[in-house]
Amino acid sequence: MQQIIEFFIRNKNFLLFLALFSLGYSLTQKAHSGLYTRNIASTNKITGSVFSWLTDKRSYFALREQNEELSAANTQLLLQYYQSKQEHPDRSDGLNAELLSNGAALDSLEGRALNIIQAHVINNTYHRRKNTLTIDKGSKDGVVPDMGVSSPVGIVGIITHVSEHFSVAQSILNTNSRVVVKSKNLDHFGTLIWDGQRIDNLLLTEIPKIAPLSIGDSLVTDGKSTIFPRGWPVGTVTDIKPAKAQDYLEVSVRPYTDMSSLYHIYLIQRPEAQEIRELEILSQNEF
Amino acid sequence: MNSSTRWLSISGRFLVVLALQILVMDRILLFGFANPLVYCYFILLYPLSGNRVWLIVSSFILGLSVDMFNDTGGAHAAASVFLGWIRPTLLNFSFGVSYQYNTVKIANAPIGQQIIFVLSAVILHHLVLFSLEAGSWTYWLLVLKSTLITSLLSTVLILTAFQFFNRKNT
Repeated sequence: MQQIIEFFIRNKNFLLFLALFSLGYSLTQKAHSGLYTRNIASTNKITGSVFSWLTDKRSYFALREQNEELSAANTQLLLQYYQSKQEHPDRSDGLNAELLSNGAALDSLEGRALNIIQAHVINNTYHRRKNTLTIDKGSKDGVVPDMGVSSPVGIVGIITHVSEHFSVAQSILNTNSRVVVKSKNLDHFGTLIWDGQRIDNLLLTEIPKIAPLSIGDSLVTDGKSTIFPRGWPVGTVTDIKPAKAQDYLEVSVRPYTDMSSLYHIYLIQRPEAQEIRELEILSQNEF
Repeated sequence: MNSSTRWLSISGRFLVVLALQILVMDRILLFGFANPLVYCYFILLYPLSGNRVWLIVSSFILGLSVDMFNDTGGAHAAASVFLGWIRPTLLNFSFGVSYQYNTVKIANAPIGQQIIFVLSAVILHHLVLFSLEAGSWTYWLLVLKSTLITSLLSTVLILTAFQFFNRKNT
């Protein structure tokens, strides 16, 4: 007994180190699997308020850049609006305006209302392999997990964790990120992933060789997942080469959004998401 | 210096280093990925005669605080606690056994010894940190690259801080 106690006293530094190191290691592993506890994530109250304060101070310095981006987005929306008006002259404008004023917009291709929440990024990482965004809206504002996150010009991620006032999203610059996208004019679809290398280069995989893609094509979300509606902008094709697996292409994609400069964002939810998911779970149970 | 002012100065340094890391250094990204980590300064300059148990515990708390602001789980905590634990070995390696008799003051030691001490400590810390953060051997080349470049940056900043605060202490 004496010897055991002596052993502990002699090696107390090493044992302490070992215990704390394993604790740190297990927290890291939890973070990798996406199951991290709310206390160690930036959705917590202290870190959240520090980031809000900091973003508040810093947002003044980026006003010019942000304004330019917003006005560019406005112009594009205006163009889209007139285009759709030309294509569907019979659609009532009154209905549109009413929906917009209620914080909802029309899904451009399916004519159904979308829930849109305007929010700001208060912490953004892009130099790691598994990057995340911290957002200043939480469950109190109606944010739920699996909402899509988009900048004024294109998608940026998916909400994974929500607390009362803040939420955390998995960035598209995350090696776990998977988004189903398609070319704007075709219906061939593939999975958009990130290889952890450059922040302006995503990879489109699992797209069949037969798809007539060319450099410069616009990519949009496919709408097969319940997160983003069909036709939400993603990025442009910058390079195409054959993939290692036969019959498939490996396509390099530049996202429309500059992931290193994010502030104004929108959280998007398809109102039918819940229904689709329930139905899919039901059908899986059947088979 | 009596024990209560010494305790105050240690915790003051802890807070200053943490604030500097979160508010300033975490906003800096050189070459798109190199983010200098200066909070190791606290662990390196913890009093030589201080209690080792407290060094290990405070290293862990410092690292965990940085983790909270970076959403990195416990990678900084694990790397810091490793550095806190291995510090005596590094001191021995860089300054010889004489440091044990309290005759050495890190900031007054020959610059060559200081560089060896800081560089070896920072490289070990960053290597553990980036390996844990990557979470998979697939990224070993990236881990090595960021370890090297970030270590150089952090070392230069920490050595500069040594020289800067040295005058005041003597």
